[in-house]
Amino acid sequence: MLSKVVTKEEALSKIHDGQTIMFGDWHGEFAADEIIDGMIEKGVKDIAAIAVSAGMPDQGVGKLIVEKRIKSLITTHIGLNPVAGEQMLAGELEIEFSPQGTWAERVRCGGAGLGGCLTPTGVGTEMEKGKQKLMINGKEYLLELPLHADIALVKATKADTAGNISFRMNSRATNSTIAYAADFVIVEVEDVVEVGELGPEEIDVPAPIIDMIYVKTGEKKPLCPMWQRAKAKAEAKAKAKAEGGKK
Amino acid sequence: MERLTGRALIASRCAKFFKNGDFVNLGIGVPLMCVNYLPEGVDIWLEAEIGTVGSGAVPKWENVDVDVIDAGGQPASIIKGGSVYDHETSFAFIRGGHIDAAVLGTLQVDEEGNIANWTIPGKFVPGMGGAMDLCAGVKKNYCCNGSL
Repeated sequence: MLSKVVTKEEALSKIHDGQTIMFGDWHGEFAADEIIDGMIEKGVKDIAAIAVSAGMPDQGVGKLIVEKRIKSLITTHIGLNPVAGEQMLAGELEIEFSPQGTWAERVRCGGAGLGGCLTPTGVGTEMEKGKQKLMINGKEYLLELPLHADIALVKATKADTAGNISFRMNSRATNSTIAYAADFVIVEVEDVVEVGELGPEEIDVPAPIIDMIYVKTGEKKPLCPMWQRAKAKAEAKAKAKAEGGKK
Repeated sequence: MERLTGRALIASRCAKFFKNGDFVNLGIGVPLMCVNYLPEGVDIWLEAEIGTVGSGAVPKWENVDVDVIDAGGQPASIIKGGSVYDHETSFAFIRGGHIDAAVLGTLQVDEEGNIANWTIPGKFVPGMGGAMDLCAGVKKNYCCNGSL
């Protein structure tokens, strides 16, 4: 069977200035970190990004925002990346907010061939602006339109060489959702196995959906920068308490 | 018994709203503190937007699993009988009327229960995250806020 395993350079060869790119993650955790770093090194810019949040300044899509490579972002929350807020207020980064459940369904619609979804979320709020409102069985709904991208950048735990992927615990995050909603799907994984080693029930997104598999070369499961800071703070506090106790 | 004040007092009062077996979503901050004050005999299924049913206690650093996080991206655990889902299903729980109660953090609340929680125009715009969906679909929403 055709192997979809590629080098980082081959994966990056598909990523260009001005593309619309979906980033799978959760506040920059469970993101395709090495490919994102590669985009920064390569100088990719003017990206129209779609991601559930703006990540953090040193995590996920947040790193590209700090480097000013992102021109617009369709998202739900930017509170953990102050740089995104500053760029937005300065007019440097165009941000469209969608409620999180709406964002998820818009991406799902984009991947599922649907022309949009009707949601009660946001009725009676600013979210109504510029949107069609429909009355269905006596209840008001907003018509929310699908989202689709040139590239989906997915992070998965494991892949087989054919391109089947699987996620461990919460690391699925938004990664399985975005995999269906782009013309070309690049997946960064911790491990790759031979075809057949992932059983039918273990495969979360099947091979025909995936175009490229890149196996990360750095640490497989590092503590993300936010956790490293929190851990160091907790340890310093414990140390100070222990030393205080000896006096 | 120690007299509770401030954030702990708000969280402990909120926790009294839950019934045994409730399916509950708690926002970041004071709302999540409610789990520390559940009345005796009340066990809840805690939902986290990332896609967990049965979110558990915050683990010690030596026990963290980097693949298990809460809605805010912090270390979390999953209780026995808990399960994990994709993002769409997580919001099907929320919007679909399956969740009994949610506790939201807010910036401002009015007397009628209208809340402001995602933007101070021109100054601070964190975004709404999952809050609007919780308001649209959860059976009972409670707000934690110091200013009315």
